[in-house]
Amino acid sequence: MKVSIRKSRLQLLWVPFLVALGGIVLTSCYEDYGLTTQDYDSYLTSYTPGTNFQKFRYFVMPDTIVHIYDTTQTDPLKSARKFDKQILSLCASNLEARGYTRLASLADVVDSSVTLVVMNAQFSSEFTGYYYNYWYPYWGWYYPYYPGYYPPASGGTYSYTTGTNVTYMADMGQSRQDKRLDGVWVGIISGLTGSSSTAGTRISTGINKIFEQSPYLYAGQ
Amino acid sequence: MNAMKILKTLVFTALFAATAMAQNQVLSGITWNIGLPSGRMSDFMDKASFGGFAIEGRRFLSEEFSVGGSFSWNYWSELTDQTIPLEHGAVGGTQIRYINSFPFLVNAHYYIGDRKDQIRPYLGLNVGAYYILQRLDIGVWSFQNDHWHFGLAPEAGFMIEMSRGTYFMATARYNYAFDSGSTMGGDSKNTYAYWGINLGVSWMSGWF
Repeated sequence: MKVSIRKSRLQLLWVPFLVALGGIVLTSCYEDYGLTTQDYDSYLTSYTPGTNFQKFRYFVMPDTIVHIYDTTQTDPLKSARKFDKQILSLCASNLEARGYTRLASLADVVDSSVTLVVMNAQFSSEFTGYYYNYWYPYWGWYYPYYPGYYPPASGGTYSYTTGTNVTYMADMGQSRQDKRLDGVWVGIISGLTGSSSTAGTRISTGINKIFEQSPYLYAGQ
Repeated sequence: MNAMKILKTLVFTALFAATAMAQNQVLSGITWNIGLPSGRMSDFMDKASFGGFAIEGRRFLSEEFSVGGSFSWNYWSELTDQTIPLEHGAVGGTQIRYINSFPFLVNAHYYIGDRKDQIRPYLGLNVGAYYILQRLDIGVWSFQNDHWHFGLAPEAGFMIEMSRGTYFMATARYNYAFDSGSTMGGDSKNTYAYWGINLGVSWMSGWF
């Protein structure tokens, strides 16, 4: 009998061990998969419900990108301006591949009701914050002593900057009628700045991605 | 005298009941849990989870019937670049999707066969609460959605006696967490369903 009771109590010792094991496992349950800068790029597209993209046949697009920044400071994306022509070229080629014809200027617009106005703009955003590790040192207060909670041993601040390119399309005819820009589609590419060696590739991927995500965006016959 | 008689009766009844309870055995164990998403959950996560565990206790009320409780954890994580359709658009990019499920359940089991059989199948039903945490990391953004759900989990399994009082346990369980709020994307129904395959070891102990 005594042996059985001792065995039962020994078995119960597994419970706090397993709970502690579960706690340790839980603290490490969010993997990060070793992502690179490019993996933090994101692509968002949105269209105005009810838009008939097939009615449009032409588009006009300025040959410059609008850079939005605090003019009392240096543009954080100044070094990225060398990619402006690449962005504009890719936008135009993607629209042309979808059946839209580019008009050289506003003077060439014959029928504004079947013409899209395409614009590109860029801006940057800076994010800062702090972090500290709740769970470290987990064992410090539990074993071997129980004098109280030990303060967290790791923490710090972080700061990063993102660059965003916005491609915006408006219905020229409706906009003239309403005397305001009537947008029908927007494509947004956002990603971390600072990696110049891969910037060209990332920009190409991003511009192509926002059009791939928009299978409804094609001209009628 | 009457009071003494009553007192003796009460003490005798209490001792008899305690002895009867003492003969009830307790099966406690730990399992490794595999989780397979199903239904709406598989739209977000279609990968199996091999990172889960459970601790469970069952008290036999008779040779064929036990009641008990369990605590489990299943964890899913997936790296994907699947485009997410929105109501009027889409969002794309490298994503890491996570789901953590924590069921807190009470259970009842019916055992087929004889207690002395080396292999003994059983059927069971679990009822309780699920705490489910869903997270989506995309770009530099992270979205999280967590809710408590009421849930049910019918199961079937078998136990094989490996040595006196020690059993290998294998269970197939269908976990269903009912709707309790909105989804991460704003839909009104946030049910979760997944199959569980739980493999582990249990020990039978008696209280004396």
